[in-house]
Amino acid sequence: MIEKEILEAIKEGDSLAFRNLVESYIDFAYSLAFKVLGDTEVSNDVVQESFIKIWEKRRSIRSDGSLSPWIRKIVINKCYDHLRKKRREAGFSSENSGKEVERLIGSETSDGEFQDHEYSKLLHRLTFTLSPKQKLVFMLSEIEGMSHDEIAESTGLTKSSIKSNLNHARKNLKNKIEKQLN
Amino acid sequence: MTKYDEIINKLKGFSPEIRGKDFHVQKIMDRTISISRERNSIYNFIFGWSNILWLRRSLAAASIFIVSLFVFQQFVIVNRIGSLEKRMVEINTENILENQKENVIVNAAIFRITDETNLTDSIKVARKDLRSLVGSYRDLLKRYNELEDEIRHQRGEALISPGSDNNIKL
Repeated sequence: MIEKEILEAIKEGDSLAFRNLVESYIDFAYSLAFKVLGDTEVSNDVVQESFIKIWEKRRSIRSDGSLSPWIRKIVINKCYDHLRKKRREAGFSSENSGKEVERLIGSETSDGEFQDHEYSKLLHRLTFTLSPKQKLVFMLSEIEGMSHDEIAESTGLTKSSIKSNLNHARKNLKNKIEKQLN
Repeated sequence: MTKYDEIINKLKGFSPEIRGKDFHVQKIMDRTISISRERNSIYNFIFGWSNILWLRRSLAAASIFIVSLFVFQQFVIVNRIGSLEKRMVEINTENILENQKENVIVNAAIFRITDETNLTDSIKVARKDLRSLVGSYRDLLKRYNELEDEIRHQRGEALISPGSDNNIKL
């Protein structure tokens, strides 16, 4: 938690105070970016751009409120920009795709967790047919566990749009999983 | 648990960690410092306003308005020049006709003079003097007509003017 004095210092343009903020929130920002994008390099770029935007907009930091929603909103918008730029990802052939997904679900390290590249592969195999908006809404709702209100607040989308995009994404993924694994 | 739920749980449970945190933090700090320097540069001091979106939009709207105004003004000016040219042509035509009329009178006078002088002794009259003579005659005729009108007005009755037909009598 960043103290009020530090936020005031950031507002005044104190770079040391800003460093403190970056160190405190970089893990949070990276985690969110990587979960949505599934790419280490791109996530690093998005995190960097997000913090630069935070620096540029430092005067609108509210000392009384929590910083997390504001930072999350900036990171999500940067992720969405990237998804829109990279609208069509390289498609995967359906051949052996089921086995690959099966293998990815089954693969666990000693900690019982995915490796980055495994998460990335699984995410891309499942979501490459989704539109940027559907992918973003799906990731925020299903993987990040954000409520519709929070998504609306962060993305600027209406609740009805969030619902329809989410339903479409779920349906699409369920069909894909059924086809590939059964 | 369906396969879908299994996959979602798997994805949800994943918590990625940034590698080389210090390196990335330093990179961000370096960029923010360079941005701050850019902001403080003279170039940015002069052209920094172009980053303000509302100002940029307002100026774009103003420039469109000014260009439209300029085009409209040009249209009006061209129209005015056209009408002035037309008027000038009309004035020139009137002048030409007037001159021609005078020339006809002068030529007629020359003709009559030369015709008559052929029979008697020959004299040479300059065209300029003749033009001046005709001018004086016409001026005199005009004044005479004005005087006649004045008299007619004062008497309140119509006078039969002996010189009402404007024939040239030399």
